[in-house]
Amino acid sequence: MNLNKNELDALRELVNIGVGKAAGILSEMTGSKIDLSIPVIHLISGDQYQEIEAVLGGERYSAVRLGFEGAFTGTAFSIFPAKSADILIAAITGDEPDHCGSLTHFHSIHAETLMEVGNILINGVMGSITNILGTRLIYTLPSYSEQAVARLIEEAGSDQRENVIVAQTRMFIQNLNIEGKILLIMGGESLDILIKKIQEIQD
Amino acid sequence: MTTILIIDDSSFQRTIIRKTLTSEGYRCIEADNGRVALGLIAEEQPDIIIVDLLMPDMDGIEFLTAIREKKISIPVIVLTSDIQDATREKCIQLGASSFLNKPTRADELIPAIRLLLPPGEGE
Amino acid sequence: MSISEFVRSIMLFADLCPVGICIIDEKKKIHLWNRMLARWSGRSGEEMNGEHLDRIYPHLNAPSYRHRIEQVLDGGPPAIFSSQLHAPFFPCPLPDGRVRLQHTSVIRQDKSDGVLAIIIIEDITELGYEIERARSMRDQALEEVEERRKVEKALLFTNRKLNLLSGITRHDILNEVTVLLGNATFLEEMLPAGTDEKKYINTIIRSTKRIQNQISFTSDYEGLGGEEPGWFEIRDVARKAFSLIRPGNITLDIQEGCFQIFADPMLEKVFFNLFENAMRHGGGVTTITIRYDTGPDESMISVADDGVGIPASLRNTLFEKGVGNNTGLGLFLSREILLITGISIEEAGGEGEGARFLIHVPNEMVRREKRL
Repeated sequence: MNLNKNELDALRELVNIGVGKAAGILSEMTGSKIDLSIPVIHLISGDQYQEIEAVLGGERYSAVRLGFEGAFTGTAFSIFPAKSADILIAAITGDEPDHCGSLTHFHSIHAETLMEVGNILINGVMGSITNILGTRLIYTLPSYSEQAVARLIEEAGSDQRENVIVAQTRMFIQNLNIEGKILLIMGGESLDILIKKIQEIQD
Repeated sequence: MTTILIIDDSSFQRTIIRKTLTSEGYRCIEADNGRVALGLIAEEQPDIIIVDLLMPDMDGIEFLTAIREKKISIPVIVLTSDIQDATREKCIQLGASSFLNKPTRADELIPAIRLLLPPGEGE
Repeated sequence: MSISEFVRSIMLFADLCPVGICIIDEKKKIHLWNRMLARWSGRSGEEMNGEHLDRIYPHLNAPSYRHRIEQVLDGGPPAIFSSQLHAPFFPCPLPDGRVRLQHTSVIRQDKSDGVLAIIIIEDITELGYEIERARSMRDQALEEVEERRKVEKALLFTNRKLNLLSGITRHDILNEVTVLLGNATFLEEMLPAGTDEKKYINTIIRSTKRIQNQISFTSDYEGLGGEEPGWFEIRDVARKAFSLIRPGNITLDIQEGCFQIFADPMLEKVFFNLFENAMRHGGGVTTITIRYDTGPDESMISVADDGVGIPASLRNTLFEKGVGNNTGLGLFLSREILLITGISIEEAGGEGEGARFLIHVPNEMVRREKRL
C-alpha cells in the first residue's frame, strides 16, 4: 500500500502532536527544556527486510512495545538506537550503560528507565491518534526489549506486519541529542481504516 | 468579514482549523511557513494570525520575531504541540497574544479569537 | 459488568497478589486497596475505600503524575512510572525507615457504569538498593583509581628527577675516572717492567677500567622504571635485541603466534643480556630458542641455547650483583626490569645441556591476541 502526500502529512502531524505532549511530560520530569525536530515519516513494507535495514539499519534498539486493537489493530514501538539510549541513561541515572551483561542489576534498572521514557513517547503518539480520530483502542501492557528492528517487526505476526509506519524524531534534552523513532505496524485492513478516519476529519 | 491567517506546515492541521473557523463564519487564508505568511500579511492584512511553531524554513519563533521587528500589530495566537511552560513564556515575551496547545477544540479556539477582536466583531 | 461487580470479583485474587493493587475511578475515588498495599502503607482497605487518591497522596497532583494518570483514564495506553524517574507512587517506608522503591503501572478498564484505572505497584527496593551499593562501590573505586594515578604520576616525576641527578653524578664520576685512568696509564708507561710499583699501578688501571665499564653499563639502565609499563610483543622485542648483538653463526628460533606481555619498556635489554651471555659464555652456541606456554595461573617464556650451560657453582648466585665475567650486572638488572611488573626469571638448564632461562609471567600480564 502507498500513502499519498496528504495522508503522510496527516500522520506526521499526529506524531508531531504526540511527541510534543511527550516532550512536555519529559520536560516536567527532568526540569529541562526539550527542543524537538520535525518528525520524518516513511511507510515501508514489514516483509521487505532490505528496506527496513535501509531506513533503520541493522543495529540493536532499545524498544518499548505496545499492542493495540479496536477500530484498527497493530503494534506500536518506540525505539531508541543504542547511542541515544546510552545518553539517556547517563543523563538520568549517571551510570555508564552495561553492554557486556556483567552488571545485571544495572541493566534491569536501565531497562526500567528506558521503558518509562519509551512509554511516555508512545503514549503521546497513540493518545494523539485516538484523540483526534475519535477512536477507542484496547492496549496490552508495555514490554521492553533490545533487538534489531527486523526482529521486532517479526514479532508482530505475519498478517499484522504488512505496513510499517516509521516516524523519526529528535529531542534535544540538556543539549543532549536523543534520537527516537516510533513504529506503527499494521495489517493492510487496519491501515485502510486509519487512513479512512483521517480522510473523514478532512472532509 | 474577519480574516484569519493560518500558518502551519501541515495541510492536515490547516484543514482542521479552517473547518472550525469557516463554520463560525470566518474567512481563512493559509501559509505553510513563516516566510510565505509574511508575504500574505502585506497583501491580505488579516485580522488575526494563528501560527504553529515547528515549521521548516521560517519557524514560529522566527516569525514572531520578524513581525515584531516589522512592528506588525496583528494579534497572534500560537497553536502548537509543544506544551512546555518555557515555550509558552518565550512566545508571550515575543508578543504572542495567546498560546494554545494542539489538538485544540472549537470551544477553546473560538473564544480565544473572540477575545482578540474588537467588541461586536466576529460574533 | 459494573464497577462494583468487577471489584468484588477480583478482590480475593488481588489480596493474594505479591504486588500492591489499587483501583480508582475517573474521579480518582478508591474502590480497591489490596492487602499488600495495606501492609505497606499501614492503611487498611476499609480506611481507603471511598477516599480520593489526590487527598491522601497530594503529590499525585503534580503535572508529571496527573497528566499521565488522566491520559490513561481518558482512554490512553497504560502508563509506566519507573523508580529512577519518580519518587514512590504511594510513599510506604520500610520498617527500618528506608524508602520503598516502586515500579508502577496504571492500566485502564472500561466498565458498564464508568472507567477504572488499575494501579499496580511492584516493590523493587532490593534491586534499587543493590544498584545504590554498586554505584557507591564504583564511585569509591574510581576515587581510588584517581588517587593511584596521582601517586604514580608523582613517582614517575620523582624517578625522572633521580635519573637526572644520577646521570649528572655519573657524568662527573666518569670524567674523574677518565682523568684517573689517563694519569695511571702515563705512570705505568714511566715505570720499569717487573717492578712492584708497575704491578700495583696495573692493578689500579684494571680496577679503574672496571669502574668505568660499570658506570657506562648502568647508564644504559638509566630509564629503568622511568617510563610507564606497556604491552610488548615478544617476537618483536627479541628480534630487535638480537639485531643489536653480533650473532655470528647463531640463529634465533622464535615460536610463531602472538605473545604479548605487560612489562617495563627496558624489556629489550633483558633479551639483549640473555643473547649476549649466550654469545660470550655459551661456548659454541649455534641456536637460541624461544618458546611460550600458558598454564592455569601463569605463562612461561623459555629462552634456551645449545651451549655448555651454566656451571653449577654459579647457579645460586647468577642473578646477584657482581656475578659474571663482564660487568656482573646484566642478569641482576634484567631481573629488576622484569620485577617491575611482577615477572620473575630463573635459570633451569643443566651444565653441559645449554642455558635455559624461564621467564614466569602472571596470566593477567599476558595477551595471546593482538589488540589495536
